[in-house]
Amino acid sequence: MKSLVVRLQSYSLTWIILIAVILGAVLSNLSPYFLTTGNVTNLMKQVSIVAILAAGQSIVIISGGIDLSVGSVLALSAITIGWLVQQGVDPALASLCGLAVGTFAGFVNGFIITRGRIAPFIATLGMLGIARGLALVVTEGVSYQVLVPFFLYIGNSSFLGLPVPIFFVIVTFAAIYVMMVSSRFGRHVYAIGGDERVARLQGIPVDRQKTKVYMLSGFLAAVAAIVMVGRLAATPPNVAQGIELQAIAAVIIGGISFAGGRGVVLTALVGAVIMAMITNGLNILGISSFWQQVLIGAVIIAAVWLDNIKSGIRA
Amino acid sequence: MAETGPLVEMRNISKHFGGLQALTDVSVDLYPGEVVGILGHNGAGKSTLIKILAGAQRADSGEIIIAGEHAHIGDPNDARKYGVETIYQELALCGNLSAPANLFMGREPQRFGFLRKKFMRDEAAKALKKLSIKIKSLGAEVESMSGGQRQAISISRAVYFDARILIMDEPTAALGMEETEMVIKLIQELKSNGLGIFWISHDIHDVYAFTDRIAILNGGRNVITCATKDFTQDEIVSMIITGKPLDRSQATGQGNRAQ
Amino acid sequence: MKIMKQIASSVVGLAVVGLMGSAPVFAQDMKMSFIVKDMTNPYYWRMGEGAKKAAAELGIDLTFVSAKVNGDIEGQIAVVETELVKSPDAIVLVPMNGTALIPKVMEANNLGIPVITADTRVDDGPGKVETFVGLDERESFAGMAEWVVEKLGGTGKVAILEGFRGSSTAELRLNGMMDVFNANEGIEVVASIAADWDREKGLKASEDILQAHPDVAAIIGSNDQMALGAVQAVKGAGKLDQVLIVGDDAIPSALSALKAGDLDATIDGNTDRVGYEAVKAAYELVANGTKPDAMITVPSSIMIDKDVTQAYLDGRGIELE
Repeated sequence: MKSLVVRLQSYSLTWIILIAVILGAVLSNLSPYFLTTGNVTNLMKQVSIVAILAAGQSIVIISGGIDLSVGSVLALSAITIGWLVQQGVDPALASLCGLAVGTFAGFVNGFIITRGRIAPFIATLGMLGIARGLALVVTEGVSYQVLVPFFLYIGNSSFLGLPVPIFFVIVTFAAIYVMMVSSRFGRHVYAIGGDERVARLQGIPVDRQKTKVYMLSGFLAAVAAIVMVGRLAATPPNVAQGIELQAIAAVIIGGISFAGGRGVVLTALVGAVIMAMITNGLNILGISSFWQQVLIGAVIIAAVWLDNIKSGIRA
Repeated sequence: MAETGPLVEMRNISKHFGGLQALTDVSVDLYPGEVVGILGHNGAGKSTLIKILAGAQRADSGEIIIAGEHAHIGDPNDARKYGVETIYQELALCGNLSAPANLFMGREPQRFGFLRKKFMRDEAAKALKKLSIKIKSLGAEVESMSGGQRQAISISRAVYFDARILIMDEPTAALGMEETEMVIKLIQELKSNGLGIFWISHDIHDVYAFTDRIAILNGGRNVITCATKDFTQDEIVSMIITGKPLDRSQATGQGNRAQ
Repeated sequence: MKIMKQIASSVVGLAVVGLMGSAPVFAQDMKMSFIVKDMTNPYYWRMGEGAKKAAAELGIDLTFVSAKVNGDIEGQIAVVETELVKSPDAIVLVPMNGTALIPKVMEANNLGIPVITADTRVDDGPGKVETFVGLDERESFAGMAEWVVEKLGGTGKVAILEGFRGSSTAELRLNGMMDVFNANEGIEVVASIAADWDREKGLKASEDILQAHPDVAAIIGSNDQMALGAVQAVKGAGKLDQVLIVGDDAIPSALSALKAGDLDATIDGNTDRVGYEAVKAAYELVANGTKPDAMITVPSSIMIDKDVTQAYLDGRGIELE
């Protein structure tokens, strides 16, 4: 027998998937290009980076925090990779170094938040500036070329008929889903997001788990950086500015509570897909990019509103 | 009962926060099968004393002896190892989690790195059943439950993990009449099973009815520790307010246990 | 059924286009996509006007698009991908980053869709570009720098507001100026600050420059937005008649400032001609198989206040307040 929580969870997921399907149906009706193989492939490539960031962001938001630094950390990881590749380092090894840099930036976030007792919004806002600034300082603003087969393959090739970046998304969400639903760490994240003081009094190592949350977010920003380097074949230090807001929007559209403690990570993936569909659909229809911003803004508000109506407006 | 040694002895506990002296040389003790009420104004030091035993705060000086052994309690997990379980008035449960998730919070059983969810659900069902607690659905968020049900879940948690010493912070403050009765019944049962219970409350009626002894604090110091029935309710209230013990020859019996 | 659907969608498409206030699009044989960095910038808007003019003359179904903001490289890549799905006969691209767009040029190459770059180049590499249409940025800014040197009488302190560090356009413009300033003994470049093409950043950077070098004689913005920021800063310091301010792109607000005497000069890159020539070259290639030259240069011109005539404004369809 399915428990109520599981049923409620699947309910929120089906709900958001339904919205995505309706949006897809409307768009394919408006444009004959929308459902072509070529465009669906594009959609998968285009959603990948925001989706990976949204996976990390959803964990942070469930823990009751927020990570504004992911765009900058992505850039810092990307230029690390770009610089190393430029120096002739093996691309796979360079990627590992990029992952280490992202994870370390996340650790610094976590350390500042837990030891310095500084609100996540402020700590990660600081990191947003630090990581971006470092990326610019190190590169002196120059964009490295990364025209090596390893990254061209990641960004522009297909595997089993699907674009390679989507496999990064699938693996990320599969791992995060299992982690959040079936591991002690995931359970602790929900508890901390529900009531941090209770979690502490019940013996949960709150500080350690929160640090892990931000490390995970930094790590995933670096995973997104690998895909980004593949997509761009370059590492401009000003890349991915403001992308953190897209990741947060994806999480919110997915219906994960901003107050923390509630939500299913997979909905963030659907939220990211919905946003990518809007951008891609309007691009296809040739509608001005100005309207895309209006529409995405409206969808964010509508999503939260719907959520409130569904749950009878939680305090 | 009088022959067995104390479960807990807290001796000469002092604690200050910055310039504020919260506790000065406070001592209390607790015997198996006994309910000791800790009384005092807001700011008398009750919560601080109890948090030190629960591992939520550390004492500056003094010692804690549990079942005859010196106990080093640095965090809540240490306290639990000594069989100390705490039920906080407002901070007992995460409202967003289910009863089994709350029951095992911080002590989730796992196998190969995965949570044993079915095991947790079954054990939670058993633990609740043992105390004759009924809740609608084990999967429901505890936020949707009544105060009594939530309190019952907290108590079943303590029982499940074999608590020997139970700290209850305002256990009935948020409850209605019927639910209070249910909780009191639970406590009587635990008491008869040999648990020692510290009961912190403002409600002098409850304290008078259900505690065996009382310890009154004022300004972070011991006022008196005595058998509850040595005094009348009015006398107890007056000691809480004045912070001065009433000198009375018949104040004997169990009250003498404290030094 | 399929036809019905297509009719329905083209009706909706028309309605949408009508809603956006663009010119109606007729069913044409040739389809072309013109992808710029940022449609909000008057510089690219004007390029689009030139491109649309060529499209109308030649009977081309032209899509003029950009990402949301300049700097959103990933967004521009998505736009290119979307346009490629529509299988246009040719693509004109103004790349945000010389390297990042290479894979997309390669994708177009594989699909057999010819790519022409305009205004900004794609880096040399595996991507095949038919031709580049644009200014010689370096030469254009060298010309501007010479004008500044002449105005200053050969001596004075000069400050530069650069575009995004790492953008090839920014680099060319800077190098063009530095070639000239370095060659002139009397000119001292006291500051060169990246204000990221942005007006507010241009304002702040100029305020700092005026603080540090009260005797600065000229501030050169690598685009008009930054130059207009400099105008505000210099105005605030009450030094409008002591400091020479120049910009680039001849956007409408810069023309107003020229007319008002706040701004001293701007470069008219004739971007409408860039747009026009790019579309035309693509048309010639697709329709007649004419191979274009490796580069099609559109000359720029320096504009000062008296160049802002009614005839000029009418020609560009600009109304100044």
